[in-house]
Amino acid sequence: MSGCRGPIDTDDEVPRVFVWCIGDEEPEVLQYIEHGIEEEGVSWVVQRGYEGDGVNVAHEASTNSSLKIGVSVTYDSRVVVHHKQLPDADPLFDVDEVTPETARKLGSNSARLAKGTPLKPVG
Amino acid sequence: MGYIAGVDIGNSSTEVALLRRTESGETEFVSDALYRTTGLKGTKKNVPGVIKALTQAAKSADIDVSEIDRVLLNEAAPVIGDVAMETITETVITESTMIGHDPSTPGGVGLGTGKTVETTADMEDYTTDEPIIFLVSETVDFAVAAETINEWSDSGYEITGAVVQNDDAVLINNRIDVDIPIVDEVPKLADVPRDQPAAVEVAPQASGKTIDTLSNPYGIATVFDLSPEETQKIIPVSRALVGNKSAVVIKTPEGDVEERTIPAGKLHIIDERGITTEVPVDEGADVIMEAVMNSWPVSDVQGESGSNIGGMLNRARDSMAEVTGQPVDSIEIRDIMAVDTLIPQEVEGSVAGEHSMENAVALAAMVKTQQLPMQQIADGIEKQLDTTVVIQGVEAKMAVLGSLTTPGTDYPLAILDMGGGSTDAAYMHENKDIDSIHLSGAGDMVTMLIDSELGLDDRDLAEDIKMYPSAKVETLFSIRQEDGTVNFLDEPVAPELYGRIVLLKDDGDMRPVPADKSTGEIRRVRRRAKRRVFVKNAKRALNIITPTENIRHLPFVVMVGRSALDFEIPEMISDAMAEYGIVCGRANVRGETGPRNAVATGLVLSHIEGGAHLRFEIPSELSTALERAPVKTD
Repeated sequence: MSGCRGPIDTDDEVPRVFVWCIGDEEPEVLQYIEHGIEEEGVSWVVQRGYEGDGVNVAHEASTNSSLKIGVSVTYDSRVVVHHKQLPDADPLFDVDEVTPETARKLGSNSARLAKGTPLKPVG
Repeated sequence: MGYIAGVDIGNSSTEVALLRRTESGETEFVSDALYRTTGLKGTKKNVPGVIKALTQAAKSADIDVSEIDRVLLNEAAPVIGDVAMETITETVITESTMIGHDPSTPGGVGLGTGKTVETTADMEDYTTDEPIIFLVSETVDFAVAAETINEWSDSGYEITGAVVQNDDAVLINNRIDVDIPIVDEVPKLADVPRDQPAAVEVAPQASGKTIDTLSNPYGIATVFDLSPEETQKIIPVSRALVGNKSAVVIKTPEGDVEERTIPAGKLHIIDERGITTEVPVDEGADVIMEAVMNSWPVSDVQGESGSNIGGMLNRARDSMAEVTGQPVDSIEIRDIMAVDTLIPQEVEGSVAGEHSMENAVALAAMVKTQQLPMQQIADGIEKQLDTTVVIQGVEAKMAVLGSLTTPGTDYPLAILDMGGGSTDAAYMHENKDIDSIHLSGAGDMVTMLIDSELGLDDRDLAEDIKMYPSAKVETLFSIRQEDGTVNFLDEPVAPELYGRIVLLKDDGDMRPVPADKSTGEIRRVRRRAKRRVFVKNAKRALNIITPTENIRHLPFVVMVGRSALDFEIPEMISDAMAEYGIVCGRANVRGETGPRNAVATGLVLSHIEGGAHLRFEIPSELSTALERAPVKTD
């Protein structure tokens, strides 16, 4: 039940939500997403330096996550929550200019997807 | 050639059966139709619905509605049903003393007792002798709260628990050095008294266990050192906390929790000899039902004004008076049905929306009058269609005739007509005489029980819960049904349905159930409501209608009506009847329409004296039109 930064071991056995940041810096809303995931008691990992469209990056993240859940965050506060089984272009949530509250809800929802509990309404 | 239409105007739907008669006299049913009833049953407002249904039937038979030569109406039973609920206990907290809600993610584990202190309080105002439970208001960030807890703890204070307004318990727990139980999502934290002894308990996670100290009256007594008298008073608190994963109890100097009995008034049941039996509603359903059956046949029931039930009885009387244009005092309540129930109600004076289960009595009433103004409807249809309209027969008798077209039936036979407002039964004797009765308690009562027992306060949702099985959305692509079967979906579910309980509607739609209930609970409540209303009424009705007053002597029982279309009511009744060795099942009118269309079909059969559709001759009493409708000559 914890978060971590950077690369993880290939034999990492902790199932995690993958949170991928687009660009090299950590966007400000990232912390709120992390709070949302943490309060739900789910593990996650934050990795930086990705490039491309938020939806593609989030889907790519979900295919790497053993929980099948990926989140992408951009520096200008766009957050996408994706699931591996969903069609590439069809994420669960795709919100521009998120507020801290919405970011936390999106974090909660990415964790709740793993837990199978009802999601919080967003937007 | 000629066309004859039978029209049955019911409480909720108007049904038509259309028959063609050839020149040589051969008859054949060519189509049927169903349209919702417009207006209250038995009033002129029914005419547009009847015209719509006739047009529909004509269309599917490929004729124009003007080609129908004769329209047959039934004389609808002059009864309406109504339902009401009376809560007979209530729990009142005169000062905030408990928080018994179940946040989805509490933090920490165990039991902590101490004095309630705001996190923004000054450390110097408190001594280190007394353990402390922190109250974290929504204006305080979780990181700040965690820091405060660590500071106080480092300074030698014993911190034993925390109560948090936001959904922050896990975040705080992960940032503090002490191991304490934390309860969060308490909306009215401001109402929690300060500087009072309190106890916080969180059950161990992933253990499947619930709290065990605060849900036990002696547990609370131990924690707060209560006297035997005080312990008796906190029983409602501990009872309300049973089954929770977390809870807070605060002891206030004048705090008091009380379980009160609300006076619900008395019912006066008057039998046909004029003898009145008085029953207090708060004695419960069994006592009421015994009084009703002892006074059978009931001639009237009166409730106490000011109570919900008294109000409902008057309302039903008034609307019947309005429909029939008869004086209110000539309208009688001929049956009532009572069911005991438990309903969740928000505790008065609660701080986190706590509920307690209160006792209540649900009551359905059946109001009867002499006759409905059917002639008005007949005239209205005649005017619009320029065809002959005849009031062909009485609802219950026509239903028997129609039901006898079910393959495998024979008379003597009993039918159970299960609708929304009333449960009716009719019996055709060996000599083809037909008796009928109308009992209160049917689909609407089931809906009311589901609505209140699940605490929905949404009739429309309760109606859907009654009609459709539930399922849980387990993944984006799969649902688990009540029986455990998993179904995979082609398309992912909408995010708002994920993880929720949904109702599987006929059109493939899924309707989310906002209540925090499992499919198991929903199924249990739904089936219990159906059993307590329909199975009970089926037994009551059949016992009264059987000539020997013994249900075992019935050879055939056929179920018709809207509730006979339900996905589980018919089998519940069949199951219960199997005990008595009776053949009981859902009708299949004319071998094709199922439990629908019995009355409409019966009307047509009555008019053509059975034709080749019945295996016996109809007595003339059943095949002559009622005199109330003089036949119009062309």
